Amino acid sequence: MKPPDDLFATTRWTLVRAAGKADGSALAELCSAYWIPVYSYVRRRSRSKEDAEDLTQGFFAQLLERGDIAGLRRENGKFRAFLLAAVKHHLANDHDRRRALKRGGGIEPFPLDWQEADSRFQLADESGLPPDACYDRSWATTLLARVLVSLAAEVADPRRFAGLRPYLTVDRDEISYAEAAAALGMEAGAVRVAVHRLRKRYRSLLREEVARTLADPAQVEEELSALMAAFG
Amino acid sequence: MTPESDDTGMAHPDFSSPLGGLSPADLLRQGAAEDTIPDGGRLAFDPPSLEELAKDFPHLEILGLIGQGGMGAVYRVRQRQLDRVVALKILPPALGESPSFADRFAREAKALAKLAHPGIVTLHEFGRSGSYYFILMEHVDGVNLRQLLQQGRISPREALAIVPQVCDALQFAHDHGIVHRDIKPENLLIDRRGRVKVADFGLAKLAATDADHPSGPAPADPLHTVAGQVMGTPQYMAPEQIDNPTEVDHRADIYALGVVLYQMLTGELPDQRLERPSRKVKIDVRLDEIVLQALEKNPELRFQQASAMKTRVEEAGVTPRRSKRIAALGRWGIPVQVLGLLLFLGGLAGMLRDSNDLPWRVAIRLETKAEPPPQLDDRLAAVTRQHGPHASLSRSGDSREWQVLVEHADEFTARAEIQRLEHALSEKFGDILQVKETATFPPTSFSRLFRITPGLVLAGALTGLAGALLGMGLPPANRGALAGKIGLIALVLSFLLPSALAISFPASNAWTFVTLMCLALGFGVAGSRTKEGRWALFGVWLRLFMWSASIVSTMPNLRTPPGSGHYPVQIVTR
Repeated sequence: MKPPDDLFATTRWTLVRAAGKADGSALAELCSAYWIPVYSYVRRRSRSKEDAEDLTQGFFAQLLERGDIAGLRRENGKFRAFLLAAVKHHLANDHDRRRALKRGGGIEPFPLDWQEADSRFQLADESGLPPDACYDRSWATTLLARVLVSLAAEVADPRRFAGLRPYLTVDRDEISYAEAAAALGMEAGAVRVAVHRLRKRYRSLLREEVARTLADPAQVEEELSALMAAFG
Repeated sequence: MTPESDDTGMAHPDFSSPLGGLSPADLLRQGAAEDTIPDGGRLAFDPPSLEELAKDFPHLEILGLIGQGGMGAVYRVRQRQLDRVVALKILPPALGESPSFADRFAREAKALAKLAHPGIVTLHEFGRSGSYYFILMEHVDGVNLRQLLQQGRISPREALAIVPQVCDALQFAHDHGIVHRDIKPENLLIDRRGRVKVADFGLAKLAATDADHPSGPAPADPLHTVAGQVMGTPQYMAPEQIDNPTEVDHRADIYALGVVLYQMLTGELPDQRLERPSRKVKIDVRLDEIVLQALEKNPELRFQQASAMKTRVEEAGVTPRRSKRIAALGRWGIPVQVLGLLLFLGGLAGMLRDSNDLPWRVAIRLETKAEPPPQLDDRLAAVTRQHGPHASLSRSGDSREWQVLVEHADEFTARAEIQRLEHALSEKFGDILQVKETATFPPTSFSRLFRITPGLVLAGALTGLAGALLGMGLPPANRGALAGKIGLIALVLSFLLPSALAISFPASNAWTFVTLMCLALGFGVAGSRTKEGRWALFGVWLRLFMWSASIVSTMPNLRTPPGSGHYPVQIVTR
């Protein structure tokens, strides 16, 4: 086992799971990163915004309190699948729900920005997807947002990042560098190199982030395909 | 097409706000794309032509391009002054864009220059010439392991010749605090004499350091072999190196060498679910253990030193044939023991069988009352011959006791004859001799087969013992550990039975003994892949061997006619 001061290692879902009973801080960190997909799922299945907020908060409070991750084995070692199964179970179990509402009512496991969550939900809700697909899309969006934030943090010049960022979604052979070159005041060749580097770094960070939610880093490609399928 | 005009991003506008207007689907698709990686090399580095290069290196005669890759390009060149052929490696210019690169390059190269080892490609010179950082190094006239692998699978013997040399080189470098970080077949050069030289020491680190400074200039892409995995070659990278590329120690090299060994032995890269090489190809099972230990995910469980791996590989290399033969013979362990058991039981059955082939034997023993007269033997013999057609006469060495023995298949005939003899003898010699005792030996227990049955029993026990020893050569497994233990316990108990130590079979608790032996044998066979089971079997056969040996040793006494020990002098024989 790696020393706990290795942040990347401690947040890895692998280690959360390896502990059998979740290591509180690692689980909390993963949950705080991916609570919005849970909220959007709950929101789709509950009557009101307030209900969804209570249920989401209760769910995380209970999950973190118990640290019960026994169900993970059934979910192929994917944190995404585990969290969805757990929240489904939570919603299905009336008794648990009420108890959690009572017990978790006063506890905030981590600060949740309901405003942002609901605005994102409102945006997402328009596509009229079933809750599961909604969850997966929200998950992918959350994950990508995290990756972009990390990526932006690595580029010293925010303007440069903003100028180069759009290239992350374009096929390589469709890229034209001229406009960005003009906008950024760089030569086309320099833009080409910069874009190439950014894309590489982006892929790297994306895989890292996906790996964090998996028990086995080898499942990264599989998980990426699964996330892409959510938009299929 | 420019990204601004890309309308696929508008397909799901609802999700786009946290992503700054980018389409998550496209982000994922581009992020997952692997095929764009090779363009990194093309984009950043096009090896210069020989003429171009000649301008920057006037003191070198550029002979040809040997190879190129993400780490740069290698040329075969001649140093004009020394008239020596060396290899010139030029690093991609993109690498040098980082302002700190020159310093780090110099530092790294100095460390590498200290690595003077026959198994490591020697660094002659380094520096910057024109637009290129370059390394001038020993030229190895041969092939790299990748080329060998592509030509066909390397034999296990060749693999076992290559790996220790790499271990030596790695150990040397590790002792100098240098980790290779990118051990792979391309970097293992084999010259025409079969000597292995490790190339590109430390270059991976040189590339990696750039990536550690994300705030500085962007990472040196050409050295990134795969997106998201800073340098190194993913198939050969230890898990901890993938997770945390900058924090690896020398054990990452051991892992990579494990992958190379696996590939040499099986021709394939190890899968996620690691299959033992011996399942794929016929090799010494000890190699499995070496490969699996080198490929341990946890560095703590791997060989801690390259030298340790070398030792194990060499051990496996020295005696692969013998141990293979022993392992092959080991499969005969159980059949041989079954044969032994059949022989043993056959012998035992023959020994215990009641038989009518043996005569009834009735004896009368006489002793002198007074000083025996001369020629008493002859007179006794005459009487015996006259009255006892089935009788024999013998006497003790001191001429004080005689035995008349009648042997006949029919008990009545034998008894009648001995009565006639007794009558005749007492009539004629009543004043000299008196009857000491009479004895009857029924034809029980031992058949004529008796002569060979103890041999059979002994041969059976020996065969079983040999089988048990053969079985020890098989590689152990975990299957049947409980059975093996039960067998061993039964064996120990059988030794603890006091009367079981007695030779005679109808001991009071003989059946307990027999039961324990059967238990030890049965469970020993069930657990024959474990140490305990093997020892149980070995013990059983040893015990049976001891018993049958003692039977054979007492055989001469049992085989001779009754009382002959006491009456050694034969006067009349049948």
